[in-house]
Amino acid sequence: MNSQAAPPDDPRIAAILAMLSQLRAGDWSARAAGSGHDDRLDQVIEQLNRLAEDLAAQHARWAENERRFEELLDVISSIAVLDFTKKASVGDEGSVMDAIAFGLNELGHELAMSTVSRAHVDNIIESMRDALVVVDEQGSIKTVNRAALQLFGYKKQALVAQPVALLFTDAQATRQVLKAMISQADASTLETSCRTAGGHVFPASVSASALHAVGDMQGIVCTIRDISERKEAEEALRRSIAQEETIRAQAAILAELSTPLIPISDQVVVMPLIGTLDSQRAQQVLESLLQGIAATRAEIAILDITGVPIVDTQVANALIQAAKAVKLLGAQVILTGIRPEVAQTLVGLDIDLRDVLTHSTLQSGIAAVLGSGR
Amino acid sequence: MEAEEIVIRTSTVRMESQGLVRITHHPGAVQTLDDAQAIAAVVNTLMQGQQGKLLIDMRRIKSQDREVREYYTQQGYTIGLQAVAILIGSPVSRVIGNLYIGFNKSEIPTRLFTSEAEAIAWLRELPLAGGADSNHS
Repeated sequence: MNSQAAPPDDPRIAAILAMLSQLRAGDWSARAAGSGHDDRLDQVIEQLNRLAEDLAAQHARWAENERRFEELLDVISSIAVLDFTKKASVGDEGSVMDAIAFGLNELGHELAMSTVSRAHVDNIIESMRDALVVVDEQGSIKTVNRAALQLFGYKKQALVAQPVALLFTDAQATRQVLKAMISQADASTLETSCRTAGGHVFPASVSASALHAVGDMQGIVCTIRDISERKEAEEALRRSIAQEETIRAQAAILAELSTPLIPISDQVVVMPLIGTLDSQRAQQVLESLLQGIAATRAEIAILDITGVPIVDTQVANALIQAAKAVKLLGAQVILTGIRPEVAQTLVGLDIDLRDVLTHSTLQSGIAAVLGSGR
Repeated sequence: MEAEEIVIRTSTVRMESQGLVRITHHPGAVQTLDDAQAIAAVVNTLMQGQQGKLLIDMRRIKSQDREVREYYTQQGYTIGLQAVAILIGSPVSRVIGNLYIGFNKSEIPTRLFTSEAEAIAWLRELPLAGGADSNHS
C-alpha cells in the first residue's frame, strides 16, 4: 500500500466529491474510480463504492416496501367497500410484510364468506311471502321484510323504531307478543286482527318466537299472514253447511207432509198419495206406511193413488212391495183410486196384484172396509 | 432405535419416541389440501391407531391454502390424536398459527410455541389417555 499522501489536486478527490453529490441527489448508481495505486484515497473510493451499493440496495428495498404498502392499502380500501376480489402478494421471505399480506388475504376471504352468507340469508328473508317483523325487548320494531311493507302499506322508515302495537288492532295481541318475549317461550301462534297504514283491518295469523344470540335474548321474531281469504272460505263453508242443514230439514218436513198416514178407525189407516212417485218417494211411502201400521196396529191400510198422475212399472212395483211388506206386519193393503187408464196400464204391465185388494175410489174403499165392521 | 421418517412434497413426518410425531414443513413450502391429506395419511400410518401427539414445525413455511386450515381445524383427520403443539417463528407462520387457534373447532388441546424445547416439554407433560381410540372433529 502506498502510504504517501495524495496531492490536493488529485482528480480522485473531485471524483469522490462528485459521487457524494450524486448520492445526495438520490443517484444510487454513482460510483468513483480508483487509480489502482491502492493508496488511502483508493481505499476511500472502494468503501464509498460499497456504501453506494448498500445505499442502492436499501433504496430498492424501501421502494419495494413502499410499493407493497400501497398494495396493502389498496386491498384494505377494497375490503372497506366490501370488494373482496383484490389480494395482496405474499413474498418468499416470510417477512412481517408477507405475514400482513397473508393475514389480509385471509381476512378478505372470511369477510367475503360471511357477506355472501348474509346476502343469501337476506335474500331468503326478502323472498318470504309472509311478513317478517323483528321486535326488540322494548317492543319496538327493529326490522321488517319486503312482504311486511307490502302487507301493511308502510315505507320501511315509517315502521322501524315504531311500537309493534301500531300493526295490531288488539292491544292484547301485542301484549301476547311481548309476553312471548318476556317469558322467553318458544313460538306461539294466535289469530288476531291487524291494521294497515290506510286503516284497513284484516284478520291475521301471527307467530312469535324469541330471538336468541349467544344465550341472550335479543328480541322477538314475528311472522304475520293475512288470513282474509281463509276466513272467507271458512265462512262460505259454514253458510253452505247451514244451507244444507236447512234444506235437509225442509226435505224431511216435506217428506213427512208428502206421506201422511190418516187413521180413520182403530184398525184402518188411509194414505192418500199425491204427485209423482219416484223411487225415493216410494221408499218414503213404504217407511211411513210400515211405521204407521206398527204404531197404530192397523189391520187395513188404504193406499189411494187418485193423485198419482203416472203409474208405470216403477210405481206399480213400489205399490206391490208396499203391500207385501204390510202383509208381513199382519195387515192388508187396499189400493184405491185406480182410474181406467191406470187399470189399463197395470194390466198391460202384467203386474201381479193378487196380494192387493183394489177399489176404484177412496170412497168405495173406505165404505167397504168400514162396512165390514172395522 | 432409528426414528421412522417419511418425506413428502412439503413436509417431513417423523415418528419419535413416546407417541410423538413431528411434522416439519419445508422452508418456503406452500401447502395445499392434497399435501395436508397426504400428511394425515402418513401420520395415521405411523401412529397405527395408537394414541399420539403432534409437533408441527411451520417456522419456515411460506403459506398454506385456506382449505388446509379448514381440513385441520374442522375435520377429524387423525385417529387417536391427543394434543398438537405448533412451532411458529416467521411472521407468516405466526399468522397461520393464530388462524389455527382462532378457527379450531376440535377439542384437541392445541398451542403455539416459539421455542421447540417448550413445545416438546408441554407435549410430554400431557399424559396419553388410556383406553379406546378417540375420534375428534
